[in-house]
Amino acid sequence: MKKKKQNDLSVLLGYAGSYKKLTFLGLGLSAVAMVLGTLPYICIWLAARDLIAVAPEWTGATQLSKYGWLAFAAAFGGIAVYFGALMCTHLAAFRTASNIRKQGMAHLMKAPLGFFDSNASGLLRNRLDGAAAETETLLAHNLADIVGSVALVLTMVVLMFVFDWRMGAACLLAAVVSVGAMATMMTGKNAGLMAEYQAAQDVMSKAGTEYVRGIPVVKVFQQTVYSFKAFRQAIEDYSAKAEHYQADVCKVPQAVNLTATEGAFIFLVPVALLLAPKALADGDFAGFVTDFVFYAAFSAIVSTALARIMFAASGMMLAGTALGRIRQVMDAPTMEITDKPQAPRDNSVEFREVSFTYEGAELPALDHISFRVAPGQTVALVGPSGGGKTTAASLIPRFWDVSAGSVLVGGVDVRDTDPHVLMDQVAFVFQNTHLFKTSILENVRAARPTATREEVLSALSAAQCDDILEKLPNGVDTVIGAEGTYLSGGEQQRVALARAILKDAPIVVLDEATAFADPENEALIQKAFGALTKGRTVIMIAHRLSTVVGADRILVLDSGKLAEAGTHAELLQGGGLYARMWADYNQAVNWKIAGKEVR
Amino acid sequence: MFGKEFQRRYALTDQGVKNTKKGALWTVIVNLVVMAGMGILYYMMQGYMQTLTDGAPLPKAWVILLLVLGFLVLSFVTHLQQYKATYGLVYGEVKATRISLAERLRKLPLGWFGKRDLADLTETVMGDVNRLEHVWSHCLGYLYGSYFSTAIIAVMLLVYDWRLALAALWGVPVAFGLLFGSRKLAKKNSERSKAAGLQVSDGIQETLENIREIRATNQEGRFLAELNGKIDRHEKSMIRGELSTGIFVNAASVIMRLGVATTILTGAGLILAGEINFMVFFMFLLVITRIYAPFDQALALIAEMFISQISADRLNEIFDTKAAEGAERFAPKGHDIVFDNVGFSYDDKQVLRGVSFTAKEGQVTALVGPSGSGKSTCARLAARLWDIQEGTIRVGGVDISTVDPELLLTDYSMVFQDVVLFDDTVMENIRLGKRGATDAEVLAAAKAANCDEFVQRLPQGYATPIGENGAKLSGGERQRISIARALLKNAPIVLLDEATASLDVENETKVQGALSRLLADKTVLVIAHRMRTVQAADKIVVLSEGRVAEEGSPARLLAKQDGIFRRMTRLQTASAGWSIDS
Repeated sequence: MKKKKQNDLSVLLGYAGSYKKLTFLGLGLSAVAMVLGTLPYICIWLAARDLIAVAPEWTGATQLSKYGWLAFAAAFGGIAVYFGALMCTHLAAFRTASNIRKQGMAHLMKAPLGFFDSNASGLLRNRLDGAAAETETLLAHNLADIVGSVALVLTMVVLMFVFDWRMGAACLLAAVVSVGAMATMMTGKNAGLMAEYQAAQDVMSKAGTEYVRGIPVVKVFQQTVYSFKAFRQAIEDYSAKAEHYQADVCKVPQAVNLTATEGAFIFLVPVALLLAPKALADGDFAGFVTDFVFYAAFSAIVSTALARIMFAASGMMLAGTALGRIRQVMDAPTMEITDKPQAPRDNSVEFREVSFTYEGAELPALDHISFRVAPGQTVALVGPSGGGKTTAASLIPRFWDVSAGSVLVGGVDVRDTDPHVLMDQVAFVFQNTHLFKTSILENVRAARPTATREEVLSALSAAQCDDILEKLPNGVDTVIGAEGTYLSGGEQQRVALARAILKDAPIVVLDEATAFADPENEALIQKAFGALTKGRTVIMIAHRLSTVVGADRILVLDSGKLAEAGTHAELLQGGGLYARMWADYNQAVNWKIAGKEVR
Repeated sequence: MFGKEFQRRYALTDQGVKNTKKGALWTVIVNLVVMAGMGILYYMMQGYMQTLTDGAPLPKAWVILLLVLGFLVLSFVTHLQQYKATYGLVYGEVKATRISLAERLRKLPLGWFGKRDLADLTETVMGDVNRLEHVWSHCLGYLYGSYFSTAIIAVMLLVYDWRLALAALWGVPVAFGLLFGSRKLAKKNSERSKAAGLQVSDGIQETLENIREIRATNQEGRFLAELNGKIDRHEKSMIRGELSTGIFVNAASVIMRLGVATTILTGAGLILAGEINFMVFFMFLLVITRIYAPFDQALALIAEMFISQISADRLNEIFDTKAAEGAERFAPKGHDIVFDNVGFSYDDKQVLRGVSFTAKEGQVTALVGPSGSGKSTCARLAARLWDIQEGTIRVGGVDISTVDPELLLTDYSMVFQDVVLFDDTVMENIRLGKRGATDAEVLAAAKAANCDEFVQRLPQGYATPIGENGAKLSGGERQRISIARALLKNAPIVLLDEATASLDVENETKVQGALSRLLADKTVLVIAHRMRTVQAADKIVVLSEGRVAEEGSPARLLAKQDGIFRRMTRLQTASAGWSIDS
């Protein structure tokens, strides 16, 4: 446990880079500040010593003012050093958080694109950005507090021996009692109760999530009363467990703990009572009383130190979970990049005995698939959903890397190609394309930064975007997302097509899903498809069979295997899976919604 | 102090305010008991001084031990009471809040949920209550009690010796003065760094969302550089904020510590001037070393208290939202749906204006129009998922805005694209359609909706749990479960998003067959995307920019020159014939 914590810390400090030293400086200063903070108490001891020596002629203690000023100087100095410490730890903490964000993003840039399909962007952002922010508190405050408190406890031990170790030990005993009381809440039978209480909390929070998420649908079926009852039950269970744990387990130890820390001075009393007669007999009664004064004042620090350590410890725990989330980001797989890249030799695409299994899946998504698409050919991937067509298409731009076999573009394994060169070679247009929050012009130009304005405009025109530009306030210079300028899904897809057209890559991988574009958009998107695919090697994922009738070759994927291949006519004649799908498809297309059962 | 504003700021119930007062009262008592305990040390010290100066015998040990015992008992008992009054009472309070929140949520208009990301909502709602729970139990009573007890002790000290009292306590007003004086600057700075932080977070989000496009266009370097710039700016603004204002917050907590030093200094001066004796000085030392402890904790918790106010605001917003209510009786004559001059705005944007049409019982009425024309909104308004601002919507002659929404929905089946499933078995997810339906009824509905084929492939068939929100099912499978629910419910009005029929293109025919069964002889309102599918509808309502542009039978609208429906149908017929070519 302890070892793990230290590891966490060194991992965290690793992100500080050159600012690591600053953290250590800050921690050192924090310790110094705490030690300086005890000096006023020593001044109390000195003042008490002088006063007791002259008692009851108090005015005889001429050195008194000096001690007063010394105390003031020490306290002031302590504060100044403490500020210095916080300054250092804050600077280092901010830099560490920045570095975590930067390194995390740089790492994610190298993850295979498929990784982002299974990890939602919001979740990743939350993990990285949120966790980075959480480490700030730990590094800026908690760590300094812990080091400071430890220094304080050490100082207390040292002072124990300087003054009177028995009375010093009595003060520390308060800390022992308090820690002991707290420990009973979490050990033995009570540990089980605590676990139960936490489990009830989890159940409640899960029930709450289901309840809230389900309200819209449950309402439709008039069952909120019942789902409400389930949630209410979970709330009541939790409350009962919490109350039981708090009332029967925590109440007494907490009261003991607080009595011990807030009343730490009370431990001093019996020890003093024991020591007093002997001190009187030994003739050092003045010294005894001086020490008594000192510890009477000093015992107050015990509770402060304890409270700080506990507060900081909970901060450490938070940072541990934050680090866990950062690790999840940093452990994202990265694409391997070859150090001896080869240039593609032509515009062909070939699958050789390709198998691919998604992480955690039992069955392969693709199972020994082989085919070749010659330069300039148009090939369509069809098949039932889950058949593997999208998977196959996403292996070409290396969204994932194959589990076995190889994918070749231009006769070279995609893993032996420089990723940038591969991206220049292949344009892909999948569903849910995104646009950057910049002007349409820049959005399209991103595909080829050297393109002129005219070239961009003609690509937009080829992608049937003229009507979009017309309705926008600043035409092609309108910034997407600003002042409520949003494009519909179909319009976004056309801009994405313009991007691909401008890119002018010899190989095009595209997904034909236009199902929910409205009729106007659908017709325009299809025209844009035509402009994009002309004269190029095309691999298209087809959902509606009517769109593939004219393809050079149709590959039918079923359960990860290549079931059939051929032209539309050949496959129809074959009377296999494709022929059945074609019949089904025609039936579906002719379906009409009617109020009476028509069949 | 504990008035309405206080109650709202921490989202407390009336009982919660009472509890807080009780907690504060016990905190005052506890703090005073601890201070009184210091009297034991004072008493001992007095005895020791007499022994020292006058040679008097040592103070009687048994008296002191008795006092110690008394103190321990008193301290323990009062701490117990304080614990009960803070932590103990809060659990009852938090239970009541959770339940009334749950109760409230289910009464909110359904549209309210549509506006929000549900995952986000649940997380905040649950998290907010947890956070408030912590503040209620750990902070409120403790903090306010400490204010009172410190004020009481301060007055006592001032009366005893005002010079030493000032030397001891000057730090408190200065610290709070600093804190409040710097608040404006702090707010400005924190807003600035929050804005810079938001830029970073947006930048990260945009980069991740667009990662496919970034990589496709080889722009990794540019995007990372831009993002790093934002991160650096954020870091600078954080540093500036920390240097200029963070200092004050920290200063406030340590400045009070200077009080110990000034007390020593002033005490020394007063003793030398013969104004006070050592015992007075000693008493002040005892008090001064303890009096700041509650404030220390208060300052440490200020951040948490502040965050909790945001949570309270969100809870208040939920409690303030007008619940959709209505009569507990709904007896329509038939199930014709009539839109009469309906106007509806959403987020200050007019979505529908002057919409009138009738969807007759036993007929299919299709809503057609370009995206953004308002057809989905119309369908949702027909079930009172939102309340309209102008006109009326009647079902069987009854104005639906007068009917309790949940009761109203008894007569509706809705099959939309977004299907919510529960972490339960397939069987129970379907049974949701009709409470108390027998297994046989559920299975019949499942078969009719073509669920059987995929359910049989699941490891435990209908008894298979489907994971959180049905994570293990595909889009088409979810749709079929939602159709099975609707079939089981068999309500007289069906609202249908036609896209449902073709979401899972490969399984289209199966889903379509199920839908045909569902729609027979009902009042059907369809949001249509594909014109061909609605050619057999009894009536088409074409919406354009929130108004009814055309209305009539498909045949009539197809015959209309320059008609929107005619144009859309023709475009789609052409699209359907499109094929890629080489």
